[in-house]
Amino acid sequence: MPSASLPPTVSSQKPKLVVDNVHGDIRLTTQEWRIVDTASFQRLRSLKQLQMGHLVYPNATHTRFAHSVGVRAIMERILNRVKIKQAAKPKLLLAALLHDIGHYPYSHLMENVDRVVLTEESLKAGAVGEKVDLHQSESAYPDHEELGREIVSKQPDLLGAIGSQELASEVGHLFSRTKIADQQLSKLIHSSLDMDRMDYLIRDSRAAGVPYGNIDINYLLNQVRMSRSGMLGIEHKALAAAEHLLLARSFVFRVVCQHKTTYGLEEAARQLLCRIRKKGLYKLPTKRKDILGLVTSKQLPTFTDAYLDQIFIQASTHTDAVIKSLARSITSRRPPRLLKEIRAFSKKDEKYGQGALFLRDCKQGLQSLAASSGVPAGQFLICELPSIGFEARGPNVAAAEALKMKEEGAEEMIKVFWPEEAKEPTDIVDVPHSMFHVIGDYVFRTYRLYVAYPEDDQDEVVAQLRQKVAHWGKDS
Amino acid sequence: MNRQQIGLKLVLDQLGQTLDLRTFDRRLALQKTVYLCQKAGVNLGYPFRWYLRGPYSRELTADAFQILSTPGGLADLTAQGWSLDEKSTKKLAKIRSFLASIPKQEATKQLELVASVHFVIAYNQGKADHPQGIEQTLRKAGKLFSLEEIRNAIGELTTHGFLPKAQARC
Repeated sequence: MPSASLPPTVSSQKPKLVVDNVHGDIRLTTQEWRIVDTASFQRLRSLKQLQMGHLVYPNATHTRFAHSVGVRAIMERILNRVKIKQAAKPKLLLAALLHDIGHYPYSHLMENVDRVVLTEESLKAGAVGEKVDLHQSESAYPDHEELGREIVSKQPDLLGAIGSQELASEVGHLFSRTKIADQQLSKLIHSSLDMDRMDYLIRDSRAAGVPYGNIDINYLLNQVRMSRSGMLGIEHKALAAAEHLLLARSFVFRVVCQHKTTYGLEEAARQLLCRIRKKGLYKLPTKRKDILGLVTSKQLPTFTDAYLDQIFIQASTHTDAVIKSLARSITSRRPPRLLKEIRAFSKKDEKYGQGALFLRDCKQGLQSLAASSGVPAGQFLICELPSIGFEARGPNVAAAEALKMKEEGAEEMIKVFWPEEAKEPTDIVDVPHSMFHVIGDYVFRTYRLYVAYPEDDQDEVVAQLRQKVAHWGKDS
Repeated sequence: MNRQQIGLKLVLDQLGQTLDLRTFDRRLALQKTVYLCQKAGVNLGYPFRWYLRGPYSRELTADAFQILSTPGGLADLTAQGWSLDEKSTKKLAKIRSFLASIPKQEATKQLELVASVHFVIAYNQGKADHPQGIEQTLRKAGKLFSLEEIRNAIGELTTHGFLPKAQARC
């Protein structure tokens, strides 16, 4: 594919200024400003960055819009520090600005509906067959990066602002990393000095009012260096700042994203949407092609958090008791209550005994618990939360294997120029005095059982249920 | 396990493969196999991006590790009542015969080649409409495959239904 060129007007016009609470003044080119001013991009103002985080942290109402502009600002700072082909820079900046253009309402919440196993499905599997439909025409909402590619290459307002189909397609491939770029560009895009992460850690923790994501971004960006082979790393003296970045991500995920109340609300929403989709209610898209049709139509600007809010409100009066309860948990903010939680910090490939026992007890005991309490089984939410790790691999991997791993996901690991005179950077887990040399392949695992019961006698019912499940997950 | 992980395990069972992530070659085979399954229409929903060794999904890696560390993750899900839809099951039978036709000692290289060539064509990278163009694109990305290997890969992709015949213009 020939390299797409930018419209000639771009560099000649005066940049516009955005004042951002994380990065300060951000100057956008005229072309970027034209993109920002499209209805397709403005939609990002109506997508909250932290999904339902605002229902726990009231100020966490910041949006994908601010984050997108912030990521573009970080990209510019990195590009100013590395030697890269001049022609590639404006495209990388556009890719950074547009990287989240394909997000769903409530972001990953709606995107992950296909991953949901309804409680009664997990309980009855074995007695009644449950089918997983993977046939392409029927299944799976597309991921947000695929939606993003569709939007930038098919929405007329964005296409017009970008300037050409060719450039739109190239930018889409860059942010979704489906472009087979030359190796230098590829290493920059895949670097784990990930601009996305750097922005959201600071932005999310500031908005939530927690200190955990407050990384030393200025020092990190000032210590970035590109090796002769094009590998991006940080100078050895910034090792502590890099360790802080990895720890910060873990803390923000545990404290903010997996907060017991936020996660309970989001799980209720996922289960609710899954039920609504199965029943074909409220015009919620049921198939992959429906979503693709929606985001490439004039309806795109309406595909915001409010789109799902309307569905939640309608569902809160539905006749199905489970649908109604799950919806009311959200709309009345009577969140699912945590009945029991098991946590572990162990190696990525280790099985966890108490978690196993807990899941077993949930599956064996929930039917009778539902029957004895009068709460339908579908209102109990069994959750095996995504594990939270640090890096793609741990230390102590044989050298030959580690070399090969650099060619898969491990290329996204943070790299450090160590020893200090090294010409090429080393994976942080291989720096002997880094804490990730010891805990790099450890993960946090969490298992939870909630009940969505938004009734007036919630406290009494929950207290009784907690008593009944108190011994679950323990050896008998 | 969530529904996507259950789907992944069912697909591997249908292909007669055991989930094993202990070596790089096995992890690479998993990546390329799932990529090809998705392109054949068995859509597990994993996003694949271009890495040094061709299409790769970090979400797939995370799920594979999660299955291995999940209690009972390797158990027979069919015996527990889970099954795949019929169209996917039929497609997987064809993919299984394609995988069986690859000599074991060449599996890593062959899967990498076939998946990479598919990626170039599917995402219309460079001059993807003829083998020379594909060879150039892959060489630029540091992957050295001969023209003959690329032609053979296109043939395999077409024969086994990973590429529609009209798309295999090479």
